[in-house]
Amino acid sequence: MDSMIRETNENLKAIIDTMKNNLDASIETLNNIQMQMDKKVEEAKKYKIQVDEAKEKINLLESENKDLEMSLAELQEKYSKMNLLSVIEAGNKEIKAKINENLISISKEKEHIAELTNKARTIKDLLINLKKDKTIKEERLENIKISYEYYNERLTEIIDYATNNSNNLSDYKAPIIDSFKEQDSKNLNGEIENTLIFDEIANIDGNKNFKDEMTFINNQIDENINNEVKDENTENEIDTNTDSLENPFLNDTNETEDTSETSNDDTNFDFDFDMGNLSDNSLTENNTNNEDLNNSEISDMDINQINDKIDDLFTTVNSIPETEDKKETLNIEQKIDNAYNEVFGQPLENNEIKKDPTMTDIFGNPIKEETINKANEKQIEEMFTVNGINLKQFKEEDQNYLKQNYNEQNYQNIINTLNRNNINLDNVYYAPNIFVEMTDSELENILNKLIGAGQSLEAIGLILEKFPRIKNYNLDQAIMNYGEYIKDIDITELIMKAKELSNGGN
Amino acid sequence: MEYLFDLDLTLEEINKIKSTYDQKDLEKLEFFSRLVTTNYNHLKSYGINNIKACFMNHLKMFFYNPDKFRSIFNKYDRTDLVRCIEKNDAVLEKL
Repeated sequence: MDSMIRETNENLKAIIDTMKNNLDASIETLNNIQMQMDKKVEEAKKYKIQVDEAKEKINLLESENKDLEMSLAELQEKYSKMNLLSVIEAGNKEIKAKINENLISISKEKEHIAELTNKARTIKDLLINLKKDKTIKEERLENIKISYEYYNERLTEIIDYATNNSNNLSDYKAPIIDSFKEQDSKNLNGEIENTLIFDEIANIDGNKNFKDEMTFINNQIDENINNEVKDENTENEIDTNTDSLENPFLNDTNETEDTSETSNDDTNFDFDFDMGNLSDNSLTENNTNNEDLNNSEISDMDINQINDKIDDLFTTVNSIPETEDKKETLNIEQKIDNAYNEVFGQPLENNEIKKDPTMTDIFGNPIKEETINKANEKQIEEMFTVNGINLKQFKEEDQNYLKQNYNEQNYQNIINTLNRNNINLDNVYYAPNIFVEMTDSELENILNKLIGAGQSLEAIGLILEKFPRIKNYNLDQAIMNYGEYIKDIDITELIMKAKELSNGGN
Repeated sequence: MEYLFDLDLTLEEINKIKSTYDQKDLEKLEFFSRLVTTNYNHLKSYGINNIKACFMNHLKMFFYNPDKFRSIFNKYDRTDLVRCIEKNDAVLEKL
């Protein structure tokens, strides 16, 4: 008997140890997540500092340029009266060179800010996922903690009792479960019939010890029923006991699910008793028998519910119902947005990232692509016609692209910019992307630089579709690199140089 | 470089270009298709029968700005120019 108790106790301790390990692992995982989040927030803060520094530099350079422009005006005014053209020319050249140099530095800083903002955006996405993961794991940890505390306490009691009373385990009486009072005897009697399942199981098993145990258990059931103990709180207590105590015995195998249909309130009732006696009976000898036994003992609780709870405790990570999960995600995103605002002083514009926006109707349902196209077709056609552009002259795929991304204001601004710079609008049939991938100010910037570098309007028009891929800063650098020879450089050479610089070339 | 097929070049000719020119030129050829096509069509409009040889042997000229490219040919007598180029496409580099 002693060795049996020792072995059973070791098994029970192993269960407690496993749960403790689970608990420790969960705590460690959570700590790791928190560390990752802290690290990322620190990283974002560093970016913020760099952004501020870049902004400060831009302000300084802009104010320096203003001063230089004033000096230029003064120089012209002062020396033109004296007719000292060579002095004016030399001064002009020097001051303009400095202004250009500053403009390049400004562009560089702006590019840097854009890069930092993109990095911060990546961090935001990562933080959202980490926070979500953390919330799920916190919930899981809470469950693990509760179950660990419960099992630790109860199983320790069982272990202690068995150790201290190894010779009179059969004298053990289960504590009276108050809630059982609620159940009437009729109900109990009805359930007694179901206890036949024990015999059936015993017959199937053919194990003598098990049969003995069944007989013993059945006797105990009878005894308990005769007591007809009733109490309002029993049901919950039983549920808890059943729920939690089922777990250790269900852990090893799933083979017993077929017996789950059989339930017995009465056997549930003597669960504590059962636990008290399990140590010297079939648990240690034959786990499967006990699993069958325990499954067949389940009362009000559906086996599926129990399994769900077990999953919650040990395996399920995504246990939050979908709708709650969504709400939670929204809350988390809101929190992250707020945190981001605090760090960067302005909200992140997620729509900048969306390349394929999905429009929705007033009910929030996504509108089909076809519907969007039809709705936009008339507007875009009218707008283009007014500006002398024929929508139908675009390739069909480009027409759809323009319709799907239609933004009247930006489209109109792009056309106005092209007109203002005398770019032949026929070129837009080959460059629909400039309507979508650029703002008019970006377009204006590149046009100014290319025209300023002596490029012909015809050549510019022929590479219009490449504009979204040109970086202002690199174009500036390329122009500077050629210096006074820039007027002799073909547009292909110039753009390739900018591209080369963008790729890290000299 | 699909557009080169539209300029009547064969796969063999395109492969020859790929094996003759360096990466930078090939990138330009790929990247500036409209500009190259414009220049190609301009020279073709002269009625030169060895246009493909001109293109394959003097590809870099086709990367010029179109106005510059046109001005090279406009200063010559058209008939003489065609005759000389057809006789020897290397003339292109001397213009």
